Amino acid sequence: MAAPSIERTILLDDLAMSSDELWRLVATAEGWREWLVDEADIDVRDGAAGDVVDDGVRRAVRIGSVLHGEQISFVWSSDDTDLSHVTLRIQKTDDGRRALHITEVPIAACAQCPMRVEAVASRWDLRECLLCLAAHASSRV
Amino acid sequence: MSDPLDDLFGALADPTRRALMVRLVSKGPATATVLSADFPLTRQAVVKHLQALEAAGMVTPERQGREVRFRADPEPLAAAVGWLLDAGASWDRRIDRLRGRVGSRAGSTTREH
Repeated sequence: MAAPSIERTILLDDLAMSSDELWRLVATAEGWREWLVDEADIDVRDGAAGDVVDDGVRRAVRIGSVLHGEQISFVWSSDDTDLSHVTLRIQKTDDGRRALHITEVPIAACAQCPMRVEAVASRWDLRECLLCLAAHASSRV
Repeated sequence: MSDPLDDLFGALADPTRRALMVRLVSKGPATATVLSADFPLTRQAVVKHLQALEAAGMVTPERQGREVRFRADPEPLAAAVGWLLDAGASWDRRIDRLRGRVGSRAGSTTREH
C-alpha cells in the first residue's frame, strides 16, 4: 500500500489554449487566482516564498522548482503542522494530447531541519522550514 | 526522512496486520498470546507484527501484571483518510474552476481521469 497522495490528470483538448496561456495558469500568481486559489501573493520562481488564500484559509507557500513550460512544485501549509508537496506537470499523453498532471503528497517535518514545524513560532520561521522541506520533497516525490 | 503516513500505510500493507487491527478493534485489547491463538501465527510472529503497528501509532501496549495487552488506536488512520478526502475534494473544486476557465475562453473541454 503506497503512502496517501492525491493524483489528478486533466486532459486538455489540443486547441483549448496556447502553451503560453496554459503555463500562465500553472505558473503565475495571476493564473493561480483564476482556478487554484482565491488569492495569491507570490512570485512563482525557484525558492520563492509567499502566501495564498485557499478556500478561505491562508497558506504559506514555498516554491521548490520551476521547469519552464513543464512543471512546478511547491510546498504549502494550511497551518504550522499540515504540510504537503504539490506538483503541477504539463505532459503529453500517448496519443499526443496535452494533460495537466497534479499530485499532492502530505509530508512530515524534515528530520534534517533544525526546527520542528510544530515548534515554529513565526511565519518567517515557517517559511524557512518550508524551504528546507521543498528541497527535500522535490527529491523524494 | 521518515514520514508518519509512510509508516502508517506501510504497516497496513500487510494483510496479517490488517487482520490483527480488525481483531483488536472489534474484540478489544488482547495479549500477543491470545492473538496467536486466534491466528495461525506463532506468538513471536504476532509480536513482530504488533511492533510494526505500534511503530506506526496504530496500537498501544498496556502492561497488566506480567503481560502486555495491545489496544487498537485507529486515530492515525482516520486522520490519513480524512486528509485524503479533504484534499481530494479541494482538488476536484479547483479542477472544476479550471474547466470553467478553459471552457469560457476557448470553448473546449477538459477531462479528468
